[in-house]
Amino acid sequence: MTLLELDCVTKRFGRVTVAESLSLEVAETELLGVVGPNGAGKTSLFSIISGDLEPDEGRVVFAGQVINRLGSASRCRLGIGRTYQVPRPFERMTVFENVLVAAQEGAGLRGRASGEQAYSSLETTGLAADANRPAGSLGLLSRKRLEMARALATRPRLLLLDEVAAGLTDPEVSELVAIVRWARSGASGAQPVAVVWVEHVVRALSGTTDRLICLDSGSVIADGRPEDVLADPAVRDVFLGTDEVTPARAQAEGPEVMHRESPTAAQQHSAQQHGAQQHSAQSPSARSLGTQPVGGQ
Amino acid sequence: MTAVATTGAVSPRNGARSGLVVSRSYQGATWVGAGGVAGVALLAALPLFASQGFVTNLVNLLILVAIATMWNALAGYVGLVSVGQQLYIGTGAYIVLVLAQNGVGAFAGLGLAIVGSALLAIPASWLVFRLSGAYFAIATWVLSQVAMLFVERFTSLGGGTGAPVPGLDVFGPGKLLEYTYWAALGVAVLSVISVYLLLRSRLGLVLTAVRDNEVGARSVGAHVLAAKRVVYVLAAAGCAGAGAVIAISTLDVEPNNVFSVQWTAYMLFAVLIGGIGTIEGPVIGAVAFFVLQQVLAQYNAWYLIVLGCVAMAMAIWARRGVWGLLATRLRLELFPVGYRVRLEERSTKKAGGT
Ligand SMILES: Nc1ncnc2c1ncn2[C@@H]1O[C@H](COP(=O)(O)OP(=O)(O)O)[C@@H](O)[C@H]1O
Ligand SMILES: [Mg+2]
Repeated sequence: MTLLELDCVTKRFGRVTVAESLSLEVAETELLGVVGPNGAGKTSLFSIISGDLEPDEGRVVFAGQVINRLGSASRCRLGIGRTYQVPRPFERMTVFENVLVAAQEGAGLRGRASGEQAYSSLETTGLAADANRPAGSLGLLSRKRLEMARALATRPRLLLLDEVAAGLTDPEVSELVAIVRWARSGASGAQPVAVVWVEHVVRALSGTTDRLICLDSGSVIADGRPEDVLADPAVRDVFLGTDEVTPARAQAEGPEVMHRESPTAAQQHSAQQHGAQQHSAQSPSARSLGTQPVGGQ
Repeated sequence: MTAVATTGAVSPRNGARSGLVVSRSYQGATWVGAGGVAGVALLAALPLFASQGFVTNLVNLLILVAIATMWNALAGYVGLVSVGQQLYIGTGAYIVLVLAQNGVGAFAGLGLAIVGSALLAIPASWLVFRLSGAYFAIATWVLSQVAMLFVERFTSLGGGTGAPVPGLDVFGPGKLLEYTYWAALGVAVLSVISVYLLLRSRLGLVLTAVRDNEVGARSVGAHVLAAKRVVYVLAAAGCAGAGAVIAISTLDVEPNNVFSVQWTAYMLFAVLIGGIGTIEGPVIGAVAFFVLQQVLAQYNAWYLIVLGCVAMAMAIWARRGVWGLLATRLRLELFPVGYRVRLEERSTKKAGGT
């Protein structure tokens, strides 16, 4: 069943378009990965879903309800939990208190139940030992964990993770992936959740998600199985000129990198392809185009 | 990051966590509480042995404690930087005046001034909450000016020059001062206690979160606007109490005094030097400001210059004020509002956490 649906959502900041007639569906308990270059509109997409940003056009539907007019607090209470790319800890509160607010306000728990929920979120994210420390004293990794703990404590049905793996080492990324899997499986005692995971670091997502979309200039330029999407020429165009191609591919593409396009040219190029790719997102036969071998273009 | 190897991510669920202990107060809280009660009792007994001049000064200090506490609740916790709280000082004073003119005793009027102003604050909040940041600040000031111009139109209230509060002469001068002092003490203590209780409540956790990060608080489901409205109404009540005391202690109500933006300057200064975003800060700031005022009063213009320099120095080097410096050094908390959590080891369960 569809949990979240974006229907032709458009959002512009002056001449910058962060969402261009964007449509997207997320199924219950799905783990959807979102990749895209800097400035593609990934964070803005989350803000539109979580209610921090109001779209200019289009509908946001959650669990069958149009939520355009709801504020972010109400959306959280409905079951949309988000983390912020730049963590927003309550610095002068303890780590436990940070999560306790979330359990009380977001999940609507009271008294003992809220404490239990808060603490179990801290355990899930590996922060239990820091429970009584001021959140302001945490390092970056712990701040990202705290973002996740807080979002989890609101008992979400949909969890939006915004670059929680950015800036982390490989082992740390693996840990984070394990946490997300754990939270998602419902093994933590709560109901299973759908996850939308934005990551600039593709390696965190590739082995984890069932489905991947690539966002560029506010549009979905590819949507499908992770390996298909990463092999998609339009996607590779967008990522060329950045260091985000996986190392193995980067080597295989040696000659191509020699004459890579400038970022703007790449974006124009992808914009031309955009129509076709959107189509491919809908039609299974067209989507199989993306499975062509990397060198086959 | 080795500590994280034992996260829930790999460990099975630890069953019902019967060993989880969440506590509120800290060690020594009872001593602080006892000290507080003794201190208030001592303050209450003060008029029995202190000089009249001193008691008069203390009335002004207590007024400052009340309004600084309220401004801190607004600006320090929910980010409502109001420069128009004199609106409620004014309404409090004028409600006392109008009631006294109609035969209600001034001290009974004080209670009604608090309730009436809190009620007025509800529609006022609809107006000013439409704006945020600097626009909110300006709107609060404009509203206070509008209120002043409004009451000045009533000749029965003395127009632009104001009017004396009738009926206060039934008390002898000595007794009046005593009662005024106790009223001021009551308003100040109630202000601090109500803010403390608010912060200890479930809503208080929200307010503290909003203080630290408003967007973050929203994102975890906190209805921030509702929380702000509660604080705004409470602050109106506290300032109205202070305004009523001002009316009684000055024996008359002058629009230019009670609606003066100078009150905002006082509360702001007290909060900034004491430490914004703590319960203790505004109280300590009010005392510090008051002492500075007394010491420097004889130097006229220098008084303002020194106060300004102190404020600037604090803003640059001690953002969290006197209390911020003290509290972090001494690991001190007079009004514990936080939570502590620990797992009690139970032999029946597999030890959870780390
Ligand atoms: N509040 C805002 N005002 C103006 N421009 C914005 C705002 N938020 C984001 N942008 C712009 O929108 C674009 C997309 O930003 P963002 O959604 O953060 O991208 P991503 O997360 O994919 O890196 C960027 O060019 C950014 O500068
Ligand atoms: Mg981003």
